[in-house]
Amino acid sequence: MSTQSAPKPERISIAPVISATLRIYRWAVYISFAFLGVGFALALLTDHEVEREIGTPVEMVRRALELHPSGYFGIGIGVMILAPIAMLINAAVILFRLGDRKYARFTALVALILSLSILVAFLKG
Amino acid sequence: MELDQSILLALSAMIGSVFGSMLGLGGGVFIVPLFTLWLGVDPKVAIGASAVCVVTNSVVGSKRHLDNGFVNFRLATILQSTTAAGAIIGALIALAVSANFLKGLLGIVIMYAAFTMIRGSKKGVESVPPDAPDPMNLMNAYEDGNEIVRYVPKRLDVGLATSGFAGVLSGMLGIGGGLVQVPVMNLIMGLPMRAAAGTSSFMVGMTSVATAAVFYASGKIDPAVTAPAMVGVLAGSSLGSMLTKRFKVSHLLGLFFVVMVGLGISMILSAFGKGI
Repeated sequence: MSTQSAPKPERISIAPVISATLRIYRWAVYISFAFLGVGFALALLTDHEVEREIGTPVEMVRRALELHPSGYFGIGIGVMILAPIAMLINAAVILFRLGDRKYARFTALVALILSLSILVAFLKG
Repeated sequence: MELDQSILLALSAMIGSVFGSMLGLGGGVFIVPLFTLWLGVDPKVAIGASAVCVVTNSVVGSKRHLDNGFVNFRLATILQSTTAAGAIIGALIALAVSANFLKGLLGIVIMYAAFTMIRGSKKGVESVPPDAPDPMNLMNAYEDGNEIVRYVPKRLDVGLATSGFAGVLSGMLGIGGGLVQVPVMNLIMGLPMRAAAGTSSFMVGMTSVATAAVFYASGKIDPAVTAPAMVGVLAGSSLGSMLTKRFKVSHLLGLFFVVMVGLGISMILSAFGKGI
């Protein structure tokens, strides 16, 4: 019986995934807190009462267009919640392009689980 | 939106985030008790806000871990499959059970975290050679001073099972789940402590997305509570990192232990309708 192990496949570097993740997270923080900042400014400057629920995406946009702080808070919170999903989808695409099919599938699976939970939440919300 | 209430919410989230950052626990363990006991926020609304705060903390704090190579991305995605599913189940349980049950359970989890922290059990991991067996292609390495620490995670089956359990706890209580995952990754899966903490910190953001989604669907994400809390977490995360560099956290463990045991007991008493 031979004890020689099979030759090891060449390891694919995930540096492009890491740099893309950092970029997506950085922009998510900027965009999310920009919306929250506008929300706080409107809450201080106007007499709108902040809603106790975020509401549907359509309601968020409608409130934002009416310069209601709740709309900006909702979008800011939504952007932050969606950041990890955007990161996962992007990572799955990059891993697939790099040829790391196995981990592209794992990443896509996690993105799918989280996306479905968000989709159901939006439909119910 | 009352200004004084918003400031108190931001301040509580900041304190929770500073403590969490200094102890490597994430802020959720402190945010829910501070919101419910100090500010009288409904426990389920507090859990929803905490879940969003955990996402914020992870998105903001992952930079350091990713830059330093502490995050094992491939391992994180494998473990995340059971963690995310667990978080959805946990969040659905949380919405079905009474608020007092959640308070009591969180009190027990905080006490467990306090005792785990004071015991300080962690295992040193020896670096493996570059040609070590790695059937799942999970080998990762990072620089520690002048040396390269290289490791291959083991016992993936145990990791997947405990990650599912961590997800359920995270979904039920709005905490990150690192309390369970970090010791398992270090003691059983053979990850060095820094890699375990970095990978867990990266994962908790994804886990809490599932929790936040379920709470959003049930109308338990209150913008008037969550938005100030996010600002507090952003400030607390940076302040916590700065304080960790200035003070030796091991010198403050006694103080943190007393605070955590106090919070745990208060949560359990509150679950039985008694306050301190």
